[in-house]
Amino acid sequence: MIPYKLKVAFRFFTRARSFTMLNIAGLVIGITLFTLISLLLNYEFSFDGFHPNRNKILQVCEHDLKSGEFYAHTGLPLPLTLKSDFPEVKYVTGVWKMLYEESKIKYQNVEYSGFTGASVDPDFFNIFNYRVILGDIRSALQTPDNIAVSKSLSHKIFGSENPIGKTLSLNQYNFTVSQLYDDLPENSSVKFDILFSDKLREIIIPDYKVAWWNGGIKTYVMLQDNFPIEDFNKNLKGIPNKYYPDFLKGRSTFFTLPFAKAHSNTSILNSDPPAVSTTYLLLLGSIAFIILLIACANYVNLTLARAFKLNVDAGIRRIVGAGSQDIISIQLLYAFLSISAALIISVPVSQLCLPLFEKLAERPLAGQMDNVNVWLLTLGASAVVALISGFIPGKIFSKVNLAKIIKSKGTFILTYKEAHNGLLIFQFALTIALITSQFFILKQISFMKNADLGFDNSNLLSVNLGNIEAGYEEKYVKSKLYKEKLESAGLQFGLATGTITENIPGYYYQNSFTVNPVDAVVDECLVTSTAVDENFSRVFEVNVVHGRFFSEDFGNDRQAFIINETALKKFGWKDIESKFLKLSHEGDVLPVIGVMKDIHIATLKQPISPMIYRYGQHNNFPAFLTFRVEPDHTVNALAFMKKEWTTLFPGAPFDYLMVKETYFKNYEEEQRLSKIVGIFAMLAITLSLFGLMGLILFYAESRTKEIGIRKVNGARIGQVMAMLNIEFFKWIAIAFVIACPIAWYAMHKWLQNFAYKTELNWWVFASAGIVVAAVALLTVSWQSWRAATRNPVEALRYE
Amino acid sequence: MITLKNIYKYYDSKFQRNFILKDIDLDVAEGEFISVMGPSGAGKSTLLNIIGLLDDPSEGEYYFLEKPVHNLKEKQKTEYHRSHIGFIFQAYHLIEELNVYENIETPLVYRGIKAKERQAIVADMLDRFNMVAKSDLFPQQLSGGQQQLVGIARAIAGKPKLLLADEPTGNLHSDQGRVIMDLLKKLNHDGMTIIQVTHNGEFAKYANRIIRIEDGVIRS
Repeated sequence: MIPYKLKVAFRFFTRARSFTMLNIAGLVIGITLFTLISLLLNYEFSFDGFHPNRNKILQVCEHDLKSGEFYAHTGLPLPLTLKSDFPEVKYVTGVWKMLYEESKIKYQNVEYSGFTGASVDPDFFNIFNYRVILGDIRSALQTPDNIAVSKSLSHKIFGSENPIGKTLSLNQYNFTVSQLYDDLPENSSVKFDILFSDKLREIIIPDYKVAWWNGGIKTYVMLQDNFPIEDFNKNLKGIPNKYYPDFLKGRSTFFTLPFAKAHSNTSILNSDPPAVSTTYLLLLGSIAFIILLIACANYVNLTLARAFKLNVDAGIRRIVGAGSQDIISIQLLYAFLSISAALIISVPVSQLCLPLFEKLAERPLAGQMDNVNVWLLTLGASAVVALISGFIPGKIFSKVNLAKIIKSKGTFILTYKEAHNGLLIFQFALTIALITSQFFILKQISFMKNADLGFDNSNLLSVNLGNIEAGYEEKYVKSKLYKEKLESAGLQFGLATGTITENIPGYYYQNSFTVNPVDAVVDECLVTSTAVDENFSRVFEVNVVHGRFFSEDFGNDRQAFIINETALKKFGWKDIESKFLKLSHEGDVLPVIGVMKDIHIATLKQPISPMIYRYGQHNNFPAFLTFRVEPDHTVNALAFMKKEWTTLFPGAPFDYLMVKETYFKNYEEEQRLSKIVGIFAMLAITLSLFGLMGLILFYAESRTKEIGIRKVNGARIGQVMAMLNIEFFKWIAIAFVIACPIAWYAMHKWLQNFAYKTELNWWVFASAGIVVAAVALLTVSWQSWRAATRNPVEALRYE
Repeated sequence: MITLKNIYKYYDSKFQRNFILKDIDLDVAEGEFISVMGPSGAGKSTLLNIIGLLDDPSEGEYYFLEKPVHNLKEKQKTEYHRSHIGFIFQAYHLIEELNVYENIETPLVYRGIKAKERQAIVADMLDRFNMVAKSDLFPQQLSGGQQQLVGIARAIAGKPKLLLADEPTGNLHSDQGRVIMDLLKKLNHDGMTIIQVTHNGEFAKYANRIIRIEDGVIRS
């Protein structure tokens, strides 16, 4: 029986070619998308999965007690301290990233970049799964000038030569390659091209053994077997008191995080590579699922669109002796064949689409292509699609009224219209929900980009002063010199006034302090602190609401504070008339001389926090020099700035950034999401239109006679079209009603990520509905036009 | 072979009951060839459908080969279709995607006949109906008469006891019709019980008994 059925199914394939092609095309789209999303999900979920110890590894994180934030980076002395003073720690390693993609390394006077590197402890190789190809694990990184390199780096720089013993230089240091290891999978959080010795730390930061304030190292440990993690966590809490210098005490403490789960923990700041939220992955997963459902519905719709014919076939089979299960099995077999064909086609199609998708998702996914899990998942999902897609029409056809078949020649015999409409409505409801979501995501992005930030962020150009090599005092003098040089000669290049600041909005504000306001409703308050010079308010165009801004004319402004409106409100002050403030960890009670308008220093995802401005050299000041340039002069201004920079600071790299671009970089995740949802919404609507097309074909066919009679009796083409279109319009209206609450709920949830959010206006829902209805009606009209213009004589000739 | 006792078929609409068949009594012996005639809407096809187990009577009893079949389940009906009853249709109803050979083969597959045996039966049918050369053609490539020949071959390939024909010549020229009727006559001569519905007085006479139905009642 099976060979016969296979034969029959193949016949259907080859005889009903256009139908089969449309059907398979829909499935290919569905399966390809599913595969691509599976690749991404597999990439994220198998992150760091290849380390055999992954479930025993703990990452030690820092908890900032003042701000309440969690950080991936810990104080530099932590690994060392754990190694020497904590017997329960079996292995520990610090991972201190020292080489960044943009850093340049030199080999035989040729510069290379694009590599990363970190200084690690000897235990590193006991904890993580690095496969050594050449060199000895134990002795490799014994001296500070020894390094281990990855296979791909070795290949890029040394070609096929043996890398061992070769010398690479970075800045003024020379390093000798003593070990070669195999590359790690892309989805690894400890993937580096160069590993430096832990001995190097002391050379770079001589007091690194006590520099707890320098928090740039990630720390990983493995405990002695069976040592309880809770006990270790308790012991970690004792570190600040025992080891911290006095001024750091009470600021932070430590806790551990299972390494295997670190990648999905978005509450830890500064994770590198950035953690990915499980919500985002779930969202992607559900999109994959929705696309599959739509592909299923599409297949069933297209099959039922031919019900007129298939029904007769099924009826005849029944009459010559086929049971219901025979009818169902034919449809199942047909569905399985279609899906198999679609699967085979979708493999090269996914490969073709992969680079595009990688760009979209911003993840290197090519390595996932040969992952068995992905394909097993795709295969399994396809099998489920085939089962559903084959069973539904099969079941419907098997229930056909046999008596009606006998007489039928061109008459409509399908009786399962409702189930059919249900599928179309379902398909369109999902499509409308996706499109509505896309509209809201775009609306939120545009809202964030166009929001009034409290300052004007256009045409602001900032130079990174961090590259000036000088001591603390000297650095400010040099920066000021550079600034004055630019101001004095810069007018012709569109540069007027520059301002030196510790931070720029949209970029990381590293300093948060507790302050004690005097005569306030609160005793203490955590504020973001930033240091600025006297021109900040002018260049960034931030208004002073009360009092005055810092000025050189008052000799003692360094001993004064300016606060923002939020802080004013928080302190419960009406004005700043004889108001005073004290930093709780240092200094005196100082006067507040002004209140600045609130500005969004962080993104609109976070609420505005209370802030204090300080004048001149405090903390990391000076870090940036910012000018507002005339848009037409940007290129000239940059050239001029660079020229002056090179004369003043030969050898120091000239780094600059546009404040607006930097600010918008914070919205990359949202933009990525909008791109993904956008593409999926497009595909969803394409698939839905396929199904709709099949359905209108079938629908018009089934009403051929009726249309003929109406036309003979004087109905105009427009009236016939309206009659057919109104039916579909009704379905889409129902789909819209179902889609709205789904989209509303999803977007309501999503918008909770933002402190400042766009409104869920009714008109956005409406416009998504209108867009879908318009495209759908266009598709329908095309067919109903054909049906309405057909010669009625032809339609009525039957019977 | 067939006994119908007080068969009624009706549809209930809002205010009244519409009768299609009223109190039909009919006996058909094995080997008979019966023509059912009557005006449009008289109930001929409904009677045929009830006899062919495609439709259920609203009331009454139906015995097929001495067994009551008026209360059969779907599955049991399928068994009868497999082994006892063959159909031919006015619109031929061949499966368009299958060629002549495969169309004839279809009922044999559902009867669970092995591939080798199927091959022999289909070959025999093609031979009998002079269609060997057309075995690989698809329905659309055949004339109406040829399609109906395939329809008959398909109907009798499974060696049913009863052949039901609903206007088998309705879509054919009279010459082609005659060929079909001669064939039915011959099948009847070989022992097949046949019931046909027809409008055509000439073709009705091929049968050895003519039943006339008017308004759901057998008149003669």
